[in-house]
Amino acid sequence: MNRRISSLVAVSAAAVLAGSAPALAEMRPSLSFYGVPGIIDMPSGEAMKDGSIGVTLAYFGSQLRTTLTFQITPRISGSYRFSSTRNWSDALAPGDPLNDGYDTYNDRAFDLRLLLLEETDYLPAVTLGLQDFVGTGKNSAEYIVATKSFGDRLKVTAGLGWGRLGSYNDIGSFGDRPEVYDNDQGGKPSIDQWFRGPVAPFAGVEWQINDNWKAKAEYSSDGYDEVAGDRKIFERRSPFNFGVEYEYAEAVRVGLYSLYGTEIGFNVQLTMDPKRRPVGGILGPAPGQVGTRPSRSADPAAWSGGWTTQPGAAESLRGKLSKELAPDGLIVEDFSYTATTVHLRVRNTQIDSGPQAIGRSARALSRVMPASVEVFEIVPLVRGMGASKVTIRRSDLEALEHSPANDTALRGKVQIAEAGPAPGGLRDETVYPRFTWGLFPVLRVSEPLHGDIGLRLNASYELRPGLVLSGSVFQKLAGNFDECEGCKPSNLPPVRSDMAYYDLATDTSLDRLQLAWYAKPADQLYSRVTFGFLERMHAGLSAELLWKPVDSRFALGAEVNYTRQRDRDGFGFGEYDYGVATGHLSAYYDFGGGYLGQVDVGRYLAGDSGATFSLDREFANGVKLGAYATLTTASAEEFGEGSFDKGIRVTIPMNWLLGQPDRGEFTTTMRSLQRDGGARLEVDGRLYDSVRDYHMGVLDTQWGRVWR
Amino acid sequence: MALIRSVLSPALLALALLSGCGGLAAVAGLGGGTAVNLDRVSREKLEAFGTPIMRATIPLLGIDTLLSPRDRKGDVVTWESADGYTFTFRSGVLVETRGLGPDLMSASAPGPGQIAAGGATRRSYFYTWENDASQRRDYACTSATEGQEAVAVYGRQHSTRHVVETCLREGGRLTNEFWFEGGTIRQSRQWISPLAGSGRFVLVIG
Repeated sequence: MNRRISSLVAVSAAAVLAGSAPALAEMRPSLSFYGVPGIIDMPSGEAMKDGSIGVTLAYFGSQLRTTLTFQITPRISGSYRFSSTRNWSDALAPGDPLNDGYDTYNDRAFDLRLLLLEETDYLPAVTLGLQDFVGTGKNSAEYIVATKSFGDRLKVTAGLGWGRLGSYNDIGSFGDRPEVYDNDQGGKPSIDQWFRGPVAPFAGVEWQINDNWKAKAEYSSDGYDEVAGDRKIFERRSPFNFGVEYEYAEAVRVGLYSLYGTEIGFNVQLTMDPKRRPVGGILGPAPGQVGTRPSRSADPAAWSGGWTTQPGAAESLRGKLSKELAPDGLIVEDFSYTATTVHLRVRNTQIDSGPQAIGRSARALSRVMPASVEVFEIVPLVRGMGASKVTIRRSDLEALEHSPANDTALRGKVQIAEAGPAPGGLRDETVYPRFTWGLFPVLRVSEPLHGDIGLRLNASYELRPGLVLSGSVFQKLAGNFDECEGCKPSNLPPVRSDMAYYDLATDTSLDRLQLAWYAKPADQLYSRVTFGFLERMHAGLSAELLWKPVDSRFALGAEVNYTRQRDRDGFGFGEYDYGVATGHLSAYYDFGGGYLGQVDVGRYLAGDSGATFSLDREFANGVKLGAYATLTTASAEEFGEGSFDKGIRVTIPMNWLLGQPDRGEFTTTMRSLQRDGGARLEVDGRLYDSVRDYHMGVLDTQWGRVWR
Repeated sequence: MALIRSVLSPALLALALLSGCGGLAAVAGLGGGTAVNLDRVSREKLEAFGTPIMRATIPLLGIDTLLSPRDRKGDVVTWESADGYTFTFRSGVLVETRGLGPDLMSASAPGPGQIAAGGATRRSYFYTWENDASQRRDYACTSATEGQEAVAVYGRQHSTRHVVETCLREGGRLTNEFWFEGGTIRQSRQWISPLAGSGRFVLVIG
């Protein structure tokens, strides 16, 4: 779950500290204690800028809330929140029926907001919100709220709330709101509660004092019935909250507040716009130029094609080309030519954008190849497999090099097709075997606020194209995770829920050691077979086949696995004695505009069957955010708290943070609770994401970088 | 061109030592000043490189560096710095930058003759913008002579005509300045991109 929320916060902080754009005059929405656009504890009617990510850390009255909010479309936003309330049972007598023995109460929640109306000169922005709509229901609320700005300094908000937001000074009731049952597993949309029960008004004002400072006041309709009333964790004396906020460079906002007449609170808000790079562009050295061909009269031999028969020409040309491409981390794997056409198969180890790698390869070819070569065929290789073939005419490169809007002009001239078979040209024998490794610090959070810091060593040894031996080792350096307090017995085979015990078992763990074989059995088909310790908890064999035409939005995949659960110390299979055959049929669809859908149907690790539905939004720079839900034959009772597996995931490429060419990325998944239902094998290097970087959809969205 | 490059390489290396570093630190605004104050370098030292030299200064990015020509195609010349930036000019009018981060990817711009003659022209700039997509900005420009000015470049006086080009679009305005010495642009201050602002280019030896 929030295994990595802290690292996400660190990433966000790094992103915003790396720099940001100058401030704008308008009043941007600020975020509430619940991490959604709002005033202080109350939501507002505005939406964030499309694609934005907000991260907040807010504290008052022993309650800490960390929220990640993503503006999924211009009108829809989703939030994931981890809340932790201290002194949970302090004021309760030991025999009190409310006394559940928890010292600190942790809760995870998802919110959904829909912008119904955009603000106009006369009309306010209006938002419909569902707060904690699949949680345990304790913090659930629904609201409809309007915000109108007057000039560029004043904003006024008013709304109606149900649930928690209808719990103070209600003005009526919409029928009965069903009770929350404590023994329910929660995690299902609580539709029968929505907009039911008492309804209460709330309101607020925001005043922009100057570019950096903002003052706020609100009237809250949240009675804090359980926290303040029953448990007396803080005293709610007044419905009025006040605060001031300081904004730094559009991306960081910190606020100090007086809440409910008794408490002082703070809120740190970070906002990121993945469409903008923190460093304002793509860094890295300028590309080389397009080579100039000599005139026919000056060098007739270069134009006649007679050079192809010269002894040693191939080695010499390949050597020159490798030298030109090396600074960009582009490796020539296969190289063949005729007098008029050159075919280059190239591996990109560094540049995060396919078009940039292709553009640099093409310019290098223009500097190296004799004048008679007019057609450049460039095949980017992914794990030894040709992903596509980009055909560029040399005359087009020459004509467009310095012309305005040359990216779109060049795109109109190039062809993107299936890679086709390797022509078996001049292979560079020095490329294989190829060894790479990396060592980096990692934070491993085993349960909220408990975990280890350590080092991770990843290494990969590529024996020949597509045959890769790789591994990953974790070494704990220090930590505060000594016993698992949150571990609960599972009603299913503990294929995931025992993860914390694995973390406790050893300081050094061999998380992965595998041999993978990638191949391209035919056009449009890609295959993978992986064998070994596939992940920390499971070992075995995994085979995958993907059908993905280069110009298609649609792809199909099939995966079958047989795995046995590893012992907690990592070696042997006796401890669990659990083997399972799993597998999925997957359908992928690229809706355009960066929206990617995926449905996986099949059998999961605990032996349950069902389907996973995912929707991701990917930005041209590689930042990707998405949500998924898995529904399987495991019942809510078998699954446990949360009822079924769902979550949101974030991928941030290193390149986006650093601006420098780098193909590394972080991915983190935040789920309600990691349980055993709907758990999929975490095998490294699945095909779809590897291959599509060089297919039409992604190449086209990043095409602006071909001349970079 | 390959031949010219290999001759230039030692010169570039020396220019690098003179220019100091820019790079990430400079772009991120974390400082990154120059190793050598370029104002204190003598003309003799620069002439000793035996190559044309231009000085480029981009205050917003903290870049102050020396350039030498890398590639010439007709009236288009690409100048490079040893720290990986390139600036491409069409007859002295900036049309591309690379390596800055917030680069000018391409441009259509009036020729120096049109600018020097004064009157109305049009410009289009293409940047990499949000989501790495190109963004086009079109401007209607007018240029006019401000007056005659003496420009001192490394101990040498140049008598120039100072021309200011003002460009407007809906919701935006920018200016470029050129100091013409005869038909040559001796010095200029030209727009690069919204995040890089303008750069100052001085043709030291050329």
